[in-house]
Formats: sequence, structure tokens, C-alpha cells
Amino acid sequence: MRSHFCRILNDEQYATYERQCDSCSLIDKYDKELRIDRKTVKYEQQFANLYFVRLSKLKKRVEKVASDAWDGISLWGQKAKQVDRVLDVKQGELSWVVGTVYMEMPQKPNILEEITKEFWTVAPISKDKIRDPEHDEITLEDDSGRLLLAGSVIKEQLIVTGCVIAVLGLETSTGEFEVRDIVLPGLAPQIPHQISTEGHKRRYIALVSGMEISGSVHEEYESTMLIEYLMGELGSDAKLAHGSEIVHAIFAGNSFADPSALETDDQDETLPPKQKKYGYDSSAYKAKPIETLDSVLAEISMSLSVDLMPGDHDPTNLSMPQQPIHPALLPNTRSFLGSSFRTVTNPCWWDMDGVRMLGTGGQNISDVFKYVEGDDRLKMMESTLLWQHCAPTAPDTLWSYPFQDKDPFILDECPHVYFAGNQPKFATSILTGADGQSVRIIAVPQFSVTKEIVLLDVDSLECEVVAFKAGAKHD
Amino acid sequence: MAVDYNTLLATRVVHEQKPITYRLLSREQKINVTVAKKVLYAFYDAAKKQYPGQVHATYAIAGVERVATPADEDTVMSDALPSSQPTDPDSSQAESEVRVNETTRTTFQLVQQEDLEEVKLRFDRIDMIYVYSLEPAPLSSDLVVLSDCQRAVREMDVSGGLELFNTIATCQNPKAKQSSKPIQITPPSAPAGRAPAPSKKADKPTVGSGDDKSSLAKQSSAAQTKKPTQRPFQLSTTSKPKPKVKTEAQESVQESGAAKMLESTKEVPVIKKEKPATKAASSTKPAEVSQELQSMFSDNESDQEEDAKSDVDMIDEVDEAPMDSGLIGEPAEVPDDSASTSANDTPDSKMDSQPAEDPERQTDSAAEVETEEPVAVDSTAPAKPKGRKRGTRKVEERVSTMENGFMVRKTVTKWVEYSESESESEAVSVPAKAKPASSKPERKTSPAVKAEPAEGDKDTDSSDTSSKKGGVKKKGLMKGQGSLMSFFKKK
Repeated sequence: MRSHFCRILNDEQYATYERQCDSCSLIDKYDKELRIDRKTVKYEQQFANLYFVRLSKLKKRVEKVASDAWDGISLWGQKAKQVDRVLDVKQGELSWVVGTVYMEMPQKPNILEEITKEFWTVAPISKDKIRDPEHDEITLEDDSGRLLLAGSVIKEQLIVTGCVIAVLGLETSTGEFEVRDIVLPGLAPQIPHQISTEGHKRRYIALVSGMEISGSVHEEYESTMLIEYLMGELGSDAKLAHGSEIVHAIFAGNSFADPSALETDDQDETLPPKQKKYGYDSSAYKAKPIETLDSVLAEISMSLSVDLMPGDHDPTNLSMPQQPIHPALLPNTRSFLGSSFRTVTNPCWWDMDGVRMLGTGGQNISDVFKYVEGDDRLKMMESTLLWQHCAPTAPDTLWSYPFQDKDPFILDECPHVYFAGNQPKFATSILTGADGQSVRIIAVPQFSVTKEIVLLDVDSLECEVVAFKAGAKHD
Repeated sequence: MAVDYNTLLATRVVHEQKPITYRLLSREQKINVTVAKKVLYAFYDAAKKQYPGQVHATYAIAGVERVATPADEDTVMSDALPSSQPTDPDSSQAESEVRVNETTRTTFQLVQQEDLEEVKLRFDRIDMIYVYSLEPAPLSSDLVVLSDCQRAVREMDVSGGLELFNTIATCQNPKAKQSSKPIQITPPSAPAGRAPAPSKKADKPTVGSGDDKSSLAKQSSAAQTKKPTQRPFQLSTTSKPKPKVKTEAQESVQESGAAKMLESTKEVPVIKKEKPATKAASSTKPAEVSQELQSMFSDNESDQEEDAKSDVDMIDEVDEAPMDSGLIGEPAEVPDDSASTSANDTPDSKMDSQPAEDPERQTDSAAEVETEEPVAVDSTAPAKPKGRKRGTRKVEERVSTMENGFMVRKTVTKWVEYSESESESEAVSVPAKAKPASSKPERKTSPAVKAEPAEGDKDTDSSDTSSKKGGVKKKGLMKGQGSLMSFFKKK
């Protein structure tokens, strides 16, 4: 046990460390696609174009994989043929076709139903899962039409609305397509990168998610400990738990507290209730969370390079891709803009010395969670990589901007690191692909609940967890 | 040195009964945090004998906790330190992908001195222990006391900035550079648009005052020296870009607007007048931003005061002008009206609609407004030169009065005191866009883009005016940031 009780001497030498300069930069190509230019933004267009673009881009990729897999295959004496359009499938013929999955789910919140039922007083119960294996219908759709898919193979496969797949099977007499095999686009090509495990000077990226700073008096002390740790002060030896070796911190979503959780705070019930006003009641604005977060980020920026990514409670647009939180909201931290502070989109791509990283605030995975059974977040993340699309449920249940000529969520390349924030607990794994791709997948836990953050070693792509505990006793 | 610290800490913890954390000590004494930790320990050690029982320590422990490993057949691999195990039976089956489930997990824990031994047992490996804070008595479990310390630390950090940090920190970031001025993020089109506008308006006074027949006040103001005429004019124009600036700020960038203001002011001949207006504008925004804007203009403070004083003189002159003009009567009447009209309507949305209207109104109403504008803003400027952080905000109100047999509905800008309990409007209220109904018919034909009245509650007498107003307002709704508030205002 090493303890740090020492007498101080007059000419005490204490070690100061300088953090290594990180070269964590945004990838311009993807950044441009994810940013929405507010001057040209319009919401008048249909969302269907997004699906067309998605299908046209991914269809080529799936076709290639499918033809590799199924060309020359024959079942029951029939040779598998590719069918171009979904509606061209002929009954009784073994064929394969590519299309977008659409799941008809009765439990999915449906605006038309809500309108027809609006005279009922019972509010719709929001469910975690909208999946109902008994009643859900899985269809394959393309620009010609929809084809109902049947069979146990398809029911057990982890798919969601919006992913592009190829299915092999035959059409039965009932008009359903009995699926025999499924092919996904697979991992996209990856820029090769060498991972090194020898430790000379290690560099770590701290992934923090769901910090939920509220600035209230009852804020939990663990967030302060986190800040101290990131500033390198918490360890006695700054090398402890890699404190001084962290070069970059990414706050992946929900750094602000959930506004609904703040309502009960500082409420003075003795005041007479205010007159109901239309529009925005400015006196109800609580500045505490943003002021506190601003000071927190300013403190951390002094010691570390910080990237701030928005999440679903953060003050930016709700639709994906979320635009960067405007620095005007953070006046103190703003002075570090350009040097050690940066606001980024959600999702976001980074390039750190050749390591390509893709990170999201977690909404894409939480939405996929609703469509599938089980709670294996890692599997969901792997699936999004295999579908070459990080948010397939957009725009169906995940609100998204109606892009006309591009789909920025399509993964043209496979990242080396893929993380999603605000997950219920930490998990990590490595996914390897057919062409030698290898991805480190990380589910970053919500700090406000788990009090944990993740450290990613840039060179070896290994993860570590740092947990904080305050309070008198813990079980 | 050590002795000094001991005395200091003794005074603080024992005599003043205030807690201290190592961070607070390091910021206050400008010493490195590592040294601060040692100082705390040294004092604690000494205090055990000197002041037994009066000094209580909270320790920070870091290390690897012992975690119980449940025998779980679903676990792919179990390790002494598992940090995550697949709990879902579906997922843990062997897959073609490789799963790696070993992760090192370090824990930092704050522990009170009473629980130290017990907590030590929970750790598999302890990397360090040090004294985190000293306080007179054991802490409550939510560590509220420490939160107070850390808030003080945070304030000192933010105000001290990088210089303080680099003195005391162990891990410095060579990349961090704190810029003293706010970063300007300028959208490319804006400065170009801003610059011509003020200069264009400079021509207006001559035109406007020539046309103006209705109010003697205007003529008296026009009769005054060129400078005052021009200055209010600048003010009127700039006051419009200024709220317009704020609109943009609400959309995108605030400081760039201020920066642009700065740019545009340099182009306009009379610079000094701008300051009160801009300052007034800035004060209505949250504290930090207004501070910044104020700091930008702070060097011109002294000029501002002088100008303000001279303006006050002018105001008095204007006030003494013949009272048969409704315009001048306005300031007297409006306070009465303001009492009746609720000041609780949303100021922000009003400001939204107000700047949106500005481009249209500028060309027309600049002439008439010239008298009022300076009166309005100047009188408030000297009254409150500083510190209007969250104090006041500019609120636009619709006020209707009788004048010359016509019902006049004016949009009035008031400075409203914003407080937690209720918004109270101050005495000063100014017709920002005075449009006397009796005046020019030609105004009605000018940029009425959408002639439809936004509000349905028009008086038939002043229907033209109000519809024009409504029309312009509607245009403002379409063009600018747009707020539904104006729709509800009268209701």
C-alpha cells in the first residue's frame, strides 16, 4: 500500500506533467455532411427521399455480398436468381432480392391512432419496447413495393426498420416470401491502422457520457470528483489511473441535466401561481445548469482538450444529426474555443493519429433497443456496423432531418473505434470483419447513474473504467 | 512555511469552523495541489495532538476494488476484476466475433476518517490515500459542505483562468489558450448588410424632417443643431440593428453581433452614441454575455457619460416643446398605460418581432422617431450606465391613446425591471416606433408586404394604421425570427 503521507519540506519538488498534444481532429468529409446549414434548411420536403438514397447506396453493397454468397447456390433443384425489384418475385421460384426492411408494429406510437383516440381520457402508456413478435409484420420494401417476409429465420434475426438487407427464399402461395437466408452489407472497408501495445507514452481519451450537471445544491459529489480527476488533481501521483496520460475528453451527450428533473428544485410554493401566459415565460428560465456546466467545462478545458457532443436533453436541435451546442451558451468556456474546446455534432467522426472513431450520443442505439428483444447493447451496436448504417430507424421512430440527396448516417468506412453514450452500463468488445477489419465497440455508461467513465487507450484500443464514489458508506 | 500553513489551517478549521479542501487551499495560497495535499496532512498530524477531536479528515482512496465474481454459467470469461458481464442469455452464446471482457476498473472513493479502515478492506489494491479535506466535524453523507468548497474553487478557477491554473496544476495542457476577447464567429453576409444600413440612414434626417409636418416636436428637434439630429438618427438606426443583432444572437451568434456592431459603429460618423444603445441591448441578455459586451465597450465608458449628459440636456429641451403634439405627450401618458398593460408579456418575443420590423420601419419611421429615440434611450443610459445584467430588459408594448381625435396605437419600448417575483415596469417608457395616425398617408403605402392584420382586434378608426402596423408586424413575423407571441398579445 502506497500512501501519500509525507512531511512537506521547504523546497519541495513536485512533479508537474504536461499533457501530450493530441491531434484529435474532426474528419472534414463527414463533418460537412452532418452539419446542417441553417440558412438553407427547409422542412417542407418528404422523408421518402432519405430512404431512396439509402437504398440506392446500400443496395449495391448488399448485392455484391449476396451474389458472393448465393451465386450458384441451388435449393430443391432450383438455382437462385437475383430479382431486381421486390414486386418481381415470382411464386415458387427461388430468388433473392434486396430491399429496405420495414416493420409493421402495432405497438409503435401511431399519430393516426392517437388522433382517433383523442376523446379517450387514458393517456398512451409509453413503452420501452415496441416489439411484439406475435403481431409484428416484417416487410421488405423498395421503390416498387413491399413484400411480406415470413419464416423463422427472419423473425430471429436482429433487424429494424430502415436497414437494407438481401433475402433468399421463395414466395409461397399466400403471397408471403419465405426467407431461407439473409445477408447484411457487412462491415465497410476500413483504413488499416496498426495498433501498438508497447507502452512508451500512453495516450488516453476519456469518454464521459450523461454527466447531467444541474448545478443544484444537491448535486452529487461524484461529478466534482470527476472534474478533479480530469484536471489531474485527484490522484496523488498524477500518473495514477492515467490521470496525466489523458489527452482528450469527449463528453458524449447529456452533459446538461434533464430539465424535467429540475422542476422541483428551488421551487417556492408560497408564491401565488403565476398567471398563465402564452408563449415563453422567461422568469421560469433556470440558468443554473448552464452556468455550472460552463464553469465546469472552462475548468476542464484549462487542463485537457474537450469535445462537447450533444445528447437528447441538451440545448440543441432534437433531430438527428444534432448540431453542435452553440458556444454562445458557454461564455467562459468559449474563450478556449479553437484551442482546447470544441463543440461537435451527434454523431461525430474523429481521426486521432490514424485512429478513426465514430461516436454517438446513444439515441440511435436506444432507438434500436425498442425494436428488438433483449438488452444486449453491444449486439445492437455491432448490428449497426454490419448494416453499414448507424441510425437505421431514422426517420421512422428517430427524429431526423429530411435529407434530400444524402444520408449522412451511412457508414462509408468502418471506424476503428465505435462508441455510444448514455448506455445503461459499460460494455466493450471487438468486432472483426471478413476483410480483416477490427472495431473496438464501447458502450459508454451514463455517468449520472453509474458514476463511471471510460478511458480508451489510443494506441492499443484497450478500455479501462474509472469509477467514483463519494458519501459515507457504500454497499 | 510549514508553520504558516499550520497556523492558517488552525485558524480556519478550528477557530472559524470552516472546512477546507486541498483544492481550495491550493487556489487560495497559489500552491501546487500536490503540495496542498501534503500541507493538509502535515497539519492534520499536528492537530491530532494540538486540537484533539476538533479536526476531522476526509480521505480520498484510489485503487482497485474487490468485486465478487458470481459463478455464472453464461459468463464467457470470468476474471478477478470483471466490470461487465453479459446478463442477457441470448447474447452470451459463442459468436464468431471475439468478445473481450476484461477491463481494469479503478475506483476513487471519498472516505471519512471513521470509515477509513473499513473501506480499505474493500480494496484489492490501494494505490494511494491522501487527505482530501479537513473540517471541524464529521460530514453529512451528502457532502454538502464539500460542495460549498468546490463551488468556491470553481469560481476562483473561472476568474483566475489559465494563469492561476498553470501555477497550481499538476497536469497542464500546452494546447490550451484562453483568448481574452470573445471569439467572433461571423456569418459572412451579416457585416456587409450591417455596414450600409447605418450610413444610409445618415441621409434620412434631411429628408425626414422636411416631410414632417405633423409634430412641432419634430420640427423643434430638426431645428436643433445638426449633431443632435444626426445623433438620434444614428441611434434610431443602430437601435434597430441592435435588437436585430440580438435576434441573430438568439439564432446563432451573439458576440459576432456585438462585434459587427463594433465594426459598423466605426463606419458611422458618430460612434459614441451607439454605446448606450448597444449597452442597453446587451444588458437584456444573460449576465455573462452582457458582461462581455460591456467589457468590449468599457473603454468608451467615459465618452458615453459625457454624451449621455449632453443628451439629457437635449431631452429637457424637447420636453419643453409645445405639448399639443401627441408624441411628446406620449412619455407622460405612457406610464399610465404601462400600468394597465401587463408587462408580463414575453419580452424576448417582442424583441423578436421588433427587430424583424426594423428594416421596414427604418426607412419610414426613422424621421419621426428621431426625437423619441434619443429621448428614450439616453434618459435611461445615464440612469443606468452599468450593471444592467439581468436587471432590465427591453419590452415592447402596444399602447393605445387618444390623440387629436384619433385613436393611436403605438408600439412602445419600455425598460422593464426583471425580477424573480414579478416583472415591474420602470417609469421610463419610450415610444420606440411612434406612428401618429394623423401623419403621412404615404407611409401606409410603403412596405406593407402583407397587408393582413395580424391581430384581429382593430379599432375601425385606426384600422389603417393598425393594419399597417399589423402588416409590418406580420412581415416581421415572416421575415425575422418570428414569434407567435405578438399574435396573443392583445388577448
